[in-house]
Amino acid sequence: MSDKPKIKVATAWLGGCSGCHMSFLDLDERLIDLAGLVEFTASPITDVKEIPEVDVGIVEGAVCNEDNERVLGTMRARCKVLVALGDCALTGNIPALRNRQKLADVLERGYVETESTQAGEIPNAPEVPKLLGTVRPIQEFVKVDAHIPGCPPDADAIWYALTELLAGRQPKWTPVNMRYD
Amino acid sequence: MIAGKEISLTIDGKPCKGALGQTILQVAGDNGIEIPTLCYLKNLSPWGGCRMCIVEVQGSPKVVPACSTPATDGSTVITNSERLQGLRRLTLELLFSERNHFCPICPMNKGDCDLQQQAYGFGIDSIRYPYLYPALLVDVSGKYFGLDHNRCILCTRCVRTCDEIEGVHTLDIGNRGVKNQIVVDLNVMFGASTTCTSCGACVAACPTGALFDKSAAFHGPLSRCQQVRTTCTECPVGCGLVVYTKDNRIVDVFGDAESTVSRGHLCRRGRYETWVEPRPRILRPMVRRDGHLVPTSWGDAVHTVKTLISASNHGQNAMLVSPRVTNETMRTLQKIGLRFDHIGMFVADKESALCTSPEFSTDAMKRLDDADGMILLGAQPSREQGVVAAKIRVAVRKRGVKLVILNSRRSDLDAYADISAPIVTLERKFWNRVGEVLGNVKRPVLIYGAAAMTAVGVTILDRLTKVLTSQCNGGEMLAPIQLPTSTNSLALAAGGVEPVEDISTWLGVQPVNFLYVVASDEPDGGARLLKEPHVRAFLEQIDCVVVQASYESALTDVARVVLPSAIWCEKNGSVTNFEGRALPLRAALAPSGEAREDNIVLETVFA
Amino acid sequence: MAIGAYAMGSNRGFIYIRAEYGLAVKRLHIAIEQAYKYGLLGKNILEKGFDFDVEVRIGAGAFVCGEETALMRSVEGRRGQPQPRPPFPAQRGLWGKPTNINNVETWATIRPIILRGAPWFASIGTEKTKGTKVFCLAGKINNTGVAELPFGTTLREMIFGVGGGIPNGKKFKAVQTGGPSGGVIPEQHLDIPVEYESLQKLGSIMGSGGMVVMDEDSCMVDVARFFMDFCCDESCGKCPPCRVGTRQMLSILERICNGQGKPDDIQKLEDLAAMVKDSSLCGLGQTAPNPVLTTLRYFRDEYMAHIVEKRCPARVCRELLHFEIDQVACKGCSICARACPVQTIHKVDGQKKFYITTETCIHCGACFEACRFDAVVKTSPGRTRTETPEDEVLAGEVKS
Repeated sequence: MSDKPKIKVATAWLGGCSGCHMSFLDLDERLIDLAGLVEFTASPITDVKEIPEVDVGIVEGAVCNEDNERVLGTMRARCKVLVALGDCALTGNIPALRNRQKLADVLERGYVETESTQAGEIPNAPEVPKLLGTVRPIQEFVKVDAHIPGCPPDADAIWYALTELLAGRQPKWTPVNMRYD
Repeated sequence: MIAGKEISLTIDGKPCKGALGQTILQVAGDNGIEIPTLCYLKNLSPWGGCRMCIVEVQGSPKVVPACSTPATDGSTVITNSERLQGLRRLTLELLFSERNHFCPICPMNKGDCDLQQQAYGFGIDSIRYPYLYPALLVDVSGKYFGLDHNRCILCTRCVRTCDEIEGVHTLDIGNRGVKNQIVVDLNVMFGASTTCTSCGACVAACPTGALFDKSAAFHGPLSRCQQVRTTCTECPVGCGLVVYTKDNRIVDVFGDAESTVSRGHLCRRGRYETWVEPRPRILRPMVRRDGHLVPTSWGDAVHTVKTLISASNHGQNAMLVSPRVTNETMRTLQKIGLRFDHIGMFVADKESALCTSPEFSTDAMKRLDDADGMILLGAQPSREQGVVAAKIRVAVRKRGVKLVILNSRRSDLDAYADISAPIVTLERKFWNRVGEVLGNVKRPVLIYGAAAMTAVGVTILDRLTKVLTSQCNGGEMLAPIQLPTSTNSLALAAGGVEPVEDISTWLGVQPVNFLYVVASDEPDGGARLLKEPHVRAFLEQIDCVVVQASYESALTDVARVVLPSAIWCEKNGSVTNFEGRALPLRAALAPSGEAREDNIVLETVFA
Repeated sequence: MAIGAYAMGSNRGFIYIRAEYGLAVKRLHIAIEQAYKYGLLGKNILEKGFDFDVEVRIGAGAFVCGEETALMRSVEGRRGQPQPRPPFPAQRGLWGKPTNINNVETWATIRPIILRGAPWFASIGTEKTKGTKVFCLAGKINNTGVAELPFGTTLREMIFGVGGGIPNGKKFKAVQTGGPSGGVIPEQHLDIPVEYESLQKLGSIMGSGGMVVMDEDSCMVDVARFFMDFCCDESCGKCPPCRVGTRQMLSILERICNGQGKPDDIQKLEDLAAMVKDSSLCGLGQTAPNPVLTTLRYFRDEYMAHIVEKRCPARVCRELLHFEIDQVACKGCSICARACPVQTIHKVDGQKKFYITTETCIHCGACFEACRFDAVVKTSPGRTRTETPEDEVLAGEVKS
């Protein structure tokens, strides 16, 4: 094992299904190799909430609410390289389907009109983050240094992108190693 | 196409040869140089709109679209400079930002989408410009296909296909700029269109998931399906089909671009009706016991039929077949025919007259493309042979071909005709008008169908033939095109099978006590045989009716034994189209249930 | 036209004119009717055995139908969308026939050239651009209207000579030439002689000969946004660079005007403008980025003020404005409070003065317009504090 200081990585899960994090876990035995190179700090996987100063920040999901926006801002400010992981972070994808409707209608449908709901009401507690008017991909808020497309990206694509970034190179996507689905 | 003078040019440093009149894109393609395209589609007029095929031509400061710019002798073309790749990449980014091109939730996902393929090619991993997220209509009001405006890139491939191939111009572009949308008729829902023929050519032309077949959507990518090239047996045109299957089930059906008959075009019947319309299949042999049809084994059913035949009196048995059966089935019939006193095929009204003098019209489809005048007499191609109707519409609208229609029933084609009239005794005034309209026509095509086979119709046919022959180059007109409605009727008739319109008049003279009906995959299961009450009564008197069919119908109600037939996509063999071409049938699916192909059933029963 | 048609051997002519120009349509019809009456149109013109008919075709109100291929489609009664050339109109134009297409203004020069000779015509103008041009002076200028001037006249002569200068003693800022997709030319280039080449060098076009003069009260970002809005709306939508590119440039300009501009927006604008100019199908798209490109070229500081300082130097962009009432100048007439659409102007307790509650002010400027004592002060102070850590990071990048 080398004495080189490990590269610090934080990951964040914004508006998405966590499928990209699941796909990350699909790295399987390569996770062990990765653990030799990097140190995971804040991440849904480690359950550490506070994002420290890190080298690489990986963000899954679109920006749907005020908290997403805050976490993203913090991540950007505290990481050197910001990686967008998966289509929601890249395009808005499925969370952005609600952009077709007005926010009020979406909330009404979700919390009041659903068939299984009885006497429902739209949450208004201060600790519940407010939804933004539209769901947007993260590069519309902050500068993103690398993108990993896919819904979710294959473990192979994630591995490729991470190893390239760790080697100080920008991942190059070709018809062979990329897909949007 | 007449090849022009040979030209030489340099494309990306490679010396290339082409013909004068070819576009840069064609010359590059012929010389193995690929230029990315989106709005270009072979067989359609170039649009030059998508700006993907832009190239640099030495001496011109502006980039030019390769799809519409003629290649010129001695020119130097660059197709993949950094500047061009940058422009194309940004064009793609703009398209992605414009509407909701989210692949994971698209019916065209996984390799069926040209836009996705292009984006992969350019390695586009993010879009620099804000997504506009429009909330546009998803129009699924049409019966067979839907139009999701959110996925449209406005390449107009559908618009041009609808206009230039099907010839109905149902689709066009409405509004301006970023508000552009495909419009159906005068901006109605697809389901409410009065001009759409549901030919589905627009869906086949769509490079994205904007137009999608409802039955195929979200059934997985076509690229991962098995593909089988076969022939449509819905009418005697015999268009080429590509059937996409997965897990012994049809995912989609498209026209076969390689087909010499149809060059990829289809009509509603071949494209959708055969597999989208629910039709109750007969899956097992059945024998009537105590008044009820009871499923049984093939062995038992065949044994029952054999017993019934041997019990029937000589001189009192008959066989009736659908004109949809294959040439191979016909040959089997010829072998076993001696066992039957009567052997006939049931054809549409008045069609027996066509079958008594069966004429194959060699190269009819090509003649339709070359014609400068068309006369349609007693045929209804827009109802029966949609691809022929498309050719007529396109000929009139795009080439200004003169069209005269004489028909017993009105159709949408009347709107395109210079003259349209009923088939009645026509006056001199009418003939004068025909003379005026067709006066300068040099390559006329006369198409006639069953409805022309009346006394008056035949007179008109003769007279038209005379009128037109006199003005043709060399004074000889090619034979009129006979356009029947039944798939293989001409081949069967030529093979000696007697056409039958009404069984009771056919068999009435000498009553039979055994009737074997091969209804094959007639969509109505052969029920049209019974549409006249007196025929039904006649059939009910026959002691023993054996029905070999694919679909349940009123005919099976009168049957003693029912044998399950394979359907079009389960058949092998060949059919002969109205041009006399023997076209292959290749089974795309294994027969459902215990169904078997017609000739196999016949060979088993009459072995 | 008849002369041209005689020279070319054409027997049919069309004049295309927008339906909006009702008066022009009416006059044209009268003129054509008279020409027929005098035997200058129709059968056997001047007994020369030459026939020529002219028809007026009315446009359905689209800017893009000024593009010749779109115009011809519109004349044919089809959707006015440009088509790639070749085929050029002279090869295949109206209904597939060889067609000559010219501006009415060009035809109008035929008569004087025939009467006075080509050398006379060539003596007017500059070496490269001969003759005269009809210019349309508009905007912040004393003498608005149409003027025919020889090519080579300087912009300064046009604006300060013929145009009579800027009203209300305001300072000249820029002039936009050639219509909505022309470029904006600043003060330092006013002395160039107007000809095709010189305008092109400055990033603008001759276009329609329109001259929109702007004074110090014009915000150049807002001007770019305004013209981009026009081009976006008028884009026919056939090619993505113009259809989506203009829309995206408009989005960026809008957010800059709203104070939400991002530091990399200028780069994005420049990339997009260059691409739209380069790869659009027709003249509309190829020229639509001109206002953006020229304002970026000559007034980049105004963009930076909007993006970095969130300030509109010309005090035009509403979201970046701040309104206050000068307590000394205020006479307490209450006209501002009555003009305010959101009732955010109130009386100062115990005094005959008014004040604006900044938090609820919507920056509409109604009070500013209403006040007769110039007591309402409009400023664009800018935001000194950036709002998120992210903003800081990005702002830092740009400054460095």
